[in-house]
Amino acid sequence: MVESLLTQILPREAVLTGEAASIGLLSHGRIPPMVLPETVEEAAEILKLANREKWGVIPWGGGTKRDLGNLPERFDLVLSLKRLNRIIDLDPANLTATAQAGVVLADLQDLLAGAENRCYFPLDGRLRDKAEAIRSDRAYKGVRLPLDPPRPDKATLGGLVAANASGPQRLRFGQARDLVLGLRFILPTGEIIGAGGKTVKNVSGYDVSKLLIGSLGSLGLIAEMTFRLLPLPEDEAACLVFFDTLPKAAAFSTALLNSKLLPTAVELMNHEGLALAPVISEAPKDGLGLDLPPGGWWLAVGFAGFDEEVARQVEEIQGLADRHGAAGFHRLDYGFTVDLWAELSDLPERTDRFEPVRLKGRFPVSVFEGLLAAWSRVTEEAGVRCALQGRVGCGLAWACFNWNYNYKATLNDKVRLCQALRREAEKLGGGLIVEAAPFEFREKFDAWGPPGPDFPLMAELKKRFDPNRILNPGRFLGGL
Amino acid sequence: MDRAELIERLGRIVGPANVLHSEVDRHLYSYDAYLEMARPEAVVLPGGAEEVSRVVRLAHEHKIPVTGRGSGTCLSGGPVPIRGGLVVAFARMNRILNIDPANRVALVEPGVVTLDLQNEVANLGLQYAPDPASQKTSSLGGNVGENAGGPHCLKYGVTTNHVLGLELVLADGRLVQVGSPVADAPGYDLTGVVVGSEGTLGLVTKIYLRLIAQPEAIKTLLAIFETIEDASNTVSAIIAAGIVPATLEMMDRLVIKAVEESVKAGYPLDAEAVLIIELDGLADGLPRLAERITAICRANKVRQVRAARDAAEREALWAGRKGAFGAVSRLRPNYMVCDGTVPRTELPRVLAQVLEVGRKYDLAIGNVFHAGDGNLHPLILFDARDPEEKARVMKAGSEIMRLCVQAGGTISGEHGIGLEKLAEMDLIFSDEDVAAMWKVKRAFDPEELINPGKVLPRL
Repeated sequence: MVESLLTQILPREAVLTGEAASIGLLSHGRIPPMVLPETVEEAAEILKLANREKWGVIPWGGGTKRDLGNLPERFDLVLSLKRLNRIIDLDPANLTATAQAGVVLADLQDLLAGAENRCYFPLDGRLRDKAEAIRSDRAYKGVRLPLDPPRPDKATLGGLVAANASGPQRLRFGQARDLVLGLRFILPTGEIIGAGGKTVKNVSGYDVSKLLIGSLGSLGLIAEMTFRLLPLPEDEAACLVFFDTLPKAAAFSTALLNSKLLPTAVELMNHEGLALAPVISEAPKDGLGLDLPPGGWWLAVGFAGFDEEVARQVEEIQGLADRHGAAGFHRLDYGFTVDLWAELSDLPERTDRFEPVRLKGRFPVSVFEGLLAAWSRVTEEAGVRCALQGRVGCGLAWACFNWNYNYKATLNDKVRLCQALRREAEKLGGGLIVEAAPFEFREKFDAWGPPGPDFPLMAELKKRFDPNRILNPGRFLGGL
Repeated sequence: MDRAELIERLGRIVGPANVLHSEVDRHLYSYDAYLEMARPEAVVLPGGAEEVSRVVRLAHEHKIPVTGRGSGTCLSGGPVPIRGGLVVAFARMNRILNIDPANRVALVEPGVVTLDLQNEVANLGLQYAPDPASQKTSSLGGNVGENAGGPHCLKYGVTTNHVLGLELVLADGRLVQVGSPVADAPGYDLTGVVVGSEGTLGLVTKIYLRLIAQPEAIKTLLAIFETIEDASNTVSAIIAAGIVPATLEMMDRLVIKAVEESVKAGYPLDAEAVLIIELDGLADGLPRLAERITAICRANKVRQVRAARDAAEREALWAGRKGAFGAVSRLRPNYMVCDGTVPRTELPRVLAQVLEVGRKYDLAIGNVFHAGDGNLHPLILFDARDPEEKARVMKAGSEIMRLCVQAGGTISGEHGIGLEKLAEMDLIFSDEDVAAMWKVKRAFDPEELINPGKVLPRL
């Protein structure tokens, strides 16, 4: 029945069923169909139909955020945006690009970097040889979208904007919210809505784009976006700094953030986190990670900009590391830099490809040390080998561990552990979000935590944008 | 409820001295820096969020419209109470509640003057980046309402990129916090849609603002050109060279002359255009960057590039730019400032068209604007006492908006739609687009009591 209605809108081959349609989620023990519209208008027709039939719809990009949030309360259709993958306008001179939702981030970055032999992050492949990353002698050509979310090889533009995804270099360049100038989205009722525009400055009407960014596909289907770009920097560098204790590493981080230096990223990780970043632990020199003692903490610090700025910052941070009693310091070669950010962005996802638990903490920027210390204590007490990663300066941290961390731990033990981690974040004025965990756990533990006093406004917006609750119903905060 | 009773009840909430209702007072709060006027029934000056909430609750009970007002510098009619009712003026709510250097967050009331916060945080080595030219007078609440810009937004982004969270009073008087000074609050980005909504979704009573470190070094250049076209091409060439300066501001001959007569900033009177180019960041690299920019200017036929040698010279260059609107107002009794934005590569063409519009309607037009952002501010000079001239000004303003849209831009970069551009919203938005905005409006304010009649045209 469902399929026959769908094939009235789309050609047969654009309606997948069975295994081909699977996203790893079942609905009443069955795999619902997946549709692959090729135009915005087709996607609008599908939504209109779904709205009429009151189907639950999961908008689908690269699938990198499947496990984020609560389980949808119902779902009857997967709407894949993979074929909405046209680049509509590249305008490097004006530092803007407009593209459809299904474009993969790495593909866009490739185009933006231009025809030059200039390298940029995040890279699709691995660079081991610096010669592959020959930099142009010409003053400048090439731009980038300064976003480094996990899995740039898979993540689609629509998906990363819907999730407001970001990576380590968010510290300097901001998030999707800061970089989207305008977008087109489809309401469940089928209207194609334009919001914002192509210019950085724009106060013409409400900034409706902001509502869609980070809404996890629950208000409308993002079809097309215009981004603000930045020129490729002349130079980039990354430094690894090792400390034997968290307090020393934290004092160094704070001094760095209070200095005049302008790092693009400051990632602080524990010993377990090291094993998850092969670019370091499996480095050819075989030594990069080895000078980190057990119980030690390490930092990856990024710099980008004009040659002189980068050179001076690398020099200065080395002195800063010495003064704070660093146990080791490495400047990564250019090729490694590229890999490093891709891996650190993705580090939480590397915990375990099969049954990962990824928890994201949010807290006031200044209390990162307290949060990481508390999380270390709680996880140690529970006997969990847990990789901890702090995005220092952003007020974010991740705790990543394997679901089967202890064969004796029951589901209730696991829920209690995560409650304890959430409590520690709340005590410091923040909260905790589940980015991934097995279904049985997500049924028992709310991914977002309790909604705040502004929730009635959100519920009201949801009601007015999606009155039949067809878009990702129940998945977002408070069951939106 | 009659007016006397309303005033009496408002007086019980905020104190009788803080309810203004004389003819003079009502006149004084009937206008902003745009051209339209409308009188409120009464003006309320609350002393805190709780009082705002009680005032709005009272108004809600009796279906009285409420319009917020900061410093009244709005250029599009935002604070003009077009449907009467109450004006809630935030002049007394001007406390900086907290500056938290460790978390780089400031918590302020909406009546705080932008520059006051900037001076305060400068003492701590920090800055609040958005710097509208009216920063000496404008309030942060107004900046939030209009999503204010300013010269340094080229590099640092506009107000919305610096607002972390808000406390606001909703149409029924409920006091809620949206967003958070802590990153990644789950849920919809309500802060993002309230910023730039021109005070139509609620009355903001507290603002969490992002602070950033002051740059280590600043270098300010003045580039003097024989033609506007050369100056515009220079702007594009600088960006195309991979350089995003902190500011790229342009002034044309008419403005240069007005500025020199009033501020004496040291601009050459015989130049057709000047650019103020400011670089900031780490000291290393700035000298070479300045050389590269100078070379780009030369390639685009610059007459001369001057570098400010010290803070005093830098101040003087900026005094000219920031005083430009004031200076221009000495030339004729009135001016109307347009606010279209275009992709910056379109600048030379659109500027030429703007001059053409001036000739067509026989109006003097000066240009002083954020060239790096493609944000034009043609100033159309006129005398409002001459209705025929005023009519020509309105036509010219509308035509300039059309030119901007045709060039791929938009009708307002930072001054807002307000009353001024309601009729031009259909140049950029379809009925469906506007209907989606109405959904947002109704989710916040179903009875249209908060600053009604602004931003969104009727469908």
